[in-house]
Amino acid sequence: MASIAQPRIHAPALPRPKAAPSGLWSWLTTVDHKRIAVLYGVTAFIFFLVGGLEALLIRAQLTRPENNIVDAQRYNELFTMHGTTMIFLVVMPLSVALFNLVVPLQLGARDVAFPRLNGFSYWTFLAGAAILNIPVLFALPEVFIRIAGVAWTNFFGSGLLTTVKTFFDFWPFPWFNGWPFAQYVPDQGWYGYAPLTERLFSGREIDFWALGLQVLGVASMAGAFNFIVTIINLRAPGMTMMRMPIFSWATLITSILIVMAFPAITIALVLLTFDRFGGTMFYRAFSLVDGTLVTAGGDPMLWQHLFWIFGHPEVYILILPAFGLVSEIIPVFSRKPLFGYAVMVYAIAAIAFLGFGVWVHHMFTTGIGPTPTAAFAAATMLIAIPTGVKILNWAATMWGGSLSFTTAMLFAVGLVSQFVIGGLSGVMHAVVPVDTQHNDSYFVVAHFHYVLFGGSIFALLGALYFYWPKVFGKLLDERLGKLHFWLTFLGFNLTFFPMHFLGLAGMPRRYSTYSFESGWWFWNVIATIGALFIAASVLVFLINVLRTAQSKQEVGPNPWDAGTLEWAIPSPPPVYNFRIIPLVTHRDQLWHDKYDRHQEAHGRPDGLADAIVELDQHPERAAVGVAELEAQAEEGSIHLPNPSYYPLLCGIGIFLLAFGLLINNPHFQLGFFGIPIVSGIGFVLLVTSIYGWSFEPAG
Amino acid sequence: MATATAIELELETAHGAGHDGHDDHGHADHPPTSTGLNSRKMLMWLFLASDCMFFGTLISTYISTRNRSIELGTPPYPNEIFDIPYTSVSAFVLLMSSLTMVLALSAIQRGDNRGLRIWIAATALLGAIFVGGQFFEFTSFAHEGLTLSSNIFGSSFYVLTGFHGAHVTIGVAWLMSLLFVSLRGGLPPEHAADVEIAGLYWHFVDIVWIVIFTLVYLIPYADGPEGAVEAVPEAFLRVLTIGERFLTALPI
Amino acid sequence: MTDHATAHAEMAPHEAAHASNQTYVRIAFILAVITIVEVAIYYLPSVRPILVPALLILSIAKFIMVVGFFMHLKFDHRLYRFMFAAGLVLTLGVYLAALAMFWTSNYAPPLPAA
Repeated sequence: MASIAQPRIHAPALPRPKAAPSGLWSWLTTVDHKRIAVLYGVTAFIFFLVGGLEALLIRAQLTRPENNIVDAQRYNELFTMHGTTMIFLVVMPLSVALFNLVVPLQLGARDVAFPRLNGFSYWTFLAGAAILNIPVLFALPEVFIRIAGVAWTNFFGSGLLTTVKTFFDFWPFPWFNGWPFAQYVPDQGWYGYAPLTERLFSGREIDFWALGLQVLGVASMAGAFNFIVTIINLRAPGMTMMRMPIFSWATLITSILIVMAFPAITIALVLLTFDRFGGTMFYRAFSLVDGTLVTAGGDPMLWQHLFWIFGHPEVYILILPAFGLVSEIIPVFSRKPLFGYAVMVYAIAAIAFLGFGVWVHHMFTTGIGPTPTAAFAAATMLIAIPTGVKILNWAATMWGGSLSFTTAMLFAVGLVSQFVIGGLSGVMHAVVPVDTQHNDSYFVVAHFHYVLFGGSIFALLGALYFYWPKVFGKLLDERLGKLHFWLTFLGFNLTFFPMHFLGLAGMPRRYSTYSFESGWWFWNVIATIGALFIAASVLVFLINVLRTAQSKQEVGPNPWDAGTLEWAIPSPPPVYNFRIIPLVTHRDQLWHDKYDRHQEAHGRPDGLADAIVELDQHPERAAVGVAELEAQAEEGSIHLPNPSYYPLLCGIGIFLLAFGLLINNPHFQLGFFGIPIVSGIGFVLLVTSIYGWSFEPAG
Repeated sequence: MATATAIELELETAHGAGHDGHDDHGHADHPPTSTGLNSRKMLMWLFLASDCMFFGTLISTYISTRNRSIELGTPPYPNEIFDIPYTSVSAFVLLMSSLTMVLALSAIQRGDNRGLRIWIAATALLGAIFVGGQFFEFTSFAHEGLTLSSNIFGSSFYVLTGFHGAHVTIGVAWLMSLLFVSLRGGLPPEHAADVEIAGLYWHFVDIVWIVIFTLVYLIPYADGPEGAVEAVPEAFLRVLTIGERFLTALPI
Repeated sequence: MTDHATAHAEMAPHEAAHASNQTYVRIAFILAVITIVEVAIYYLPSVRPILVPALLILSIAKFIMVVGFFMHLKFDHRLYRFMFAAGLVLTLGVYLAALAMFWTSNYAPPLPAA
């Protein structure tokens, strides 16, 4: 990593003016990390609305005892898809959107290391998300029509309900079973415990879930490899690892977690798929042979181990990017450098490393034996130490700082406070007897919503406010933003804090209803009211986005006066990011250039950041050595990767491959010599695209 | 030295932007990076680290159910069905393909195109022999009644070795593609990294087979004489028992 | 230009440190011999008591030789060594723990009464 002995200004090359590419095709073939970030962000936000709608339906069902807004089957589907969507289709891709947007800019790079692989990650992610959500797309309208029907019946008698039912009975496409795919919504819970997912107990919906997750795993891993290489290899000259902004560190560690954790779920899902289609018995303790049960030799515990070997690192994959974002936001609005940068880096690494050694704490109630239980309980408690260090350092960063509570800062401080609550209930679960008491109760639901909503979502929303000007060149409205924050904060606590009480009172997770005698009605009503507040807050955010889009403001490169490199270039950044690759001499380089009193002594009268900005906007006025740079720049232009359609084709190929397997059933059989045609086309398309990709001529 | 200068001239065009296929062909193999290391080679090493976890998961699944078919009395049993001499030859073939692979790399680094083609072809051929051997092994096992669904041993054995076989097949396809490119004159010495990266993948597949050959085939099963098989798990269990005694002795 | 030169200069020692073809052949010969020894001791009754540790040690030796020489990890940048070793060690740690739990647990519950 000997990158310090580099020339001061690196590869001086000015671009030939390029017409801004636009139009649908430019988005479909883009390899620009900023555009991919927008694609990820928009997709994830749409799924945030879908997952939120599912959550609202869950809350509606639980508002009163013995409610019947949705039946037990639909309820199972709702909580399964709510969990799966929020984890894999909201928090992860929103984090990846920010990786894409921020990391190359923070590193002073012009793109990621493998731009086409980056495009591939997005399209594959979209393919996986589509596979998971095709059934939901058809089932949700049915649920709403049913709810409308029930409401109609309550007020006007049964007329419309019969009409709706008759409509479904006369569904005009006979090759589908009624409303297409609506019966295939996964219903087994987001961690799909065996043997519920075995064929004996489930239908085709598990295949949608398993294949969807499999494809999402491919997307996540491709992205993660890309970011590890980018961060190790594409740092600007002088940016040693310990000068790297903390969010890039969080991205690096999260990506390492992804590449090491996802293989476990990939294999677990492969084994599950073999169990379902190949007649294997990995997760099956018993088989039904000619009407009698025989011991098969498989073990449902194998699934639990493999799933949680992935699943626990996964929760750190969800929270570490949030920690990184908060570590960027809090110093900026405290006007102080991050307290204990090095310790913060070590803490992230320690959390990630320990995260691989605690998976059994999800399985304490399986009777796994005293030694594993004790060992994993101890390891779980250890994680509280680096996490506590981070909380302390955020507080110490704010201590004595000149705080300004913008919306981004409010969300960041919101994370610090709410995550402490979730973290403390997490440490409670490390105590085995307590865990045994809380297992599968609403207490656990409260805990993980405090860390995932109060942690990840708060930070991601804060980051939206923080980075919005960098992406779109406009600041989100602060008054609406503050309303958004306070509605979210209030709604969040109203929804999830009562769940602690419900859990301690014995209310179990995943039951579609409860009795009048249970005494759980009151807190459930409060929780539903809170959920409505959260829904209102999302509306406020959408209004804010629309109003900002219509406004005519323009912001400068650094509206928050932040210290990292992404704020040195115009907002929105030009397609090549940095006209001149900066030389990094300090952490928080921009602050150093602007505020360090000793800069004159180092012979740098103009801050580097100002120089970069100046150069971009008024090349003719820029100071040192620019004439020289301009002269050299005549010889060539900034090398940027060309757009490519192979990533998109690969994504389509993967989608067809998986989807063909899913629709290959008696009602919809398109086969040829035993090969499902759709899958076959997908496979051929995938292989062709991989070859096309490999031999695509240089840009 | 002349080649070195040419590479450096080519290098001049790029910094900071992507290093993937866009500049693989006709541009540099070693674009300037923060570490001076080739990004694609680093990607392959990361993939291999991650692949350790893939095969670790599969092999652990196999080991966790290793003796179960024997204990449950659901034949066919592994110790009756394995043909050790046959598999030894297969293992030997794959091992030697690693040698031919590394000789191919050495050839391209010397600029020896003929050697490169011969050794790549040899590697692909040895790989194909291995896959073919596995196909016949599977067929004969199936003939003796071992299928995916006959017992838990069949399930885990076929999925583990089949997954490995799929890796070898992809490797053979990759090598054939390289051979094709080389025959079209597309593999000059500057592109040695292309061969090196394929080689890393190939050697990894080989070391996975080294592990599988020992853990799946050679280490005897539960009914082996002297209970040799129990040696490893039992050592573990002893440690764990000590830990458990310690815990129960604690005054808590 | 300068940094390209440094980058290249950094590469050069590694290239030079690659083993020669004779070394590769010698390594392959040793690997072949180890494989023969493995198969041989599998058939030798006298080795049975120490068969499992012996096989494990031999295959670890083969593993290290292929990774070290054929994959050049012995000569290559330490970052690659770190990446691969980290993946391997993590895998071993996680799955040895998981297997220990499997070996201590009852995997086959009694059949439910018919």
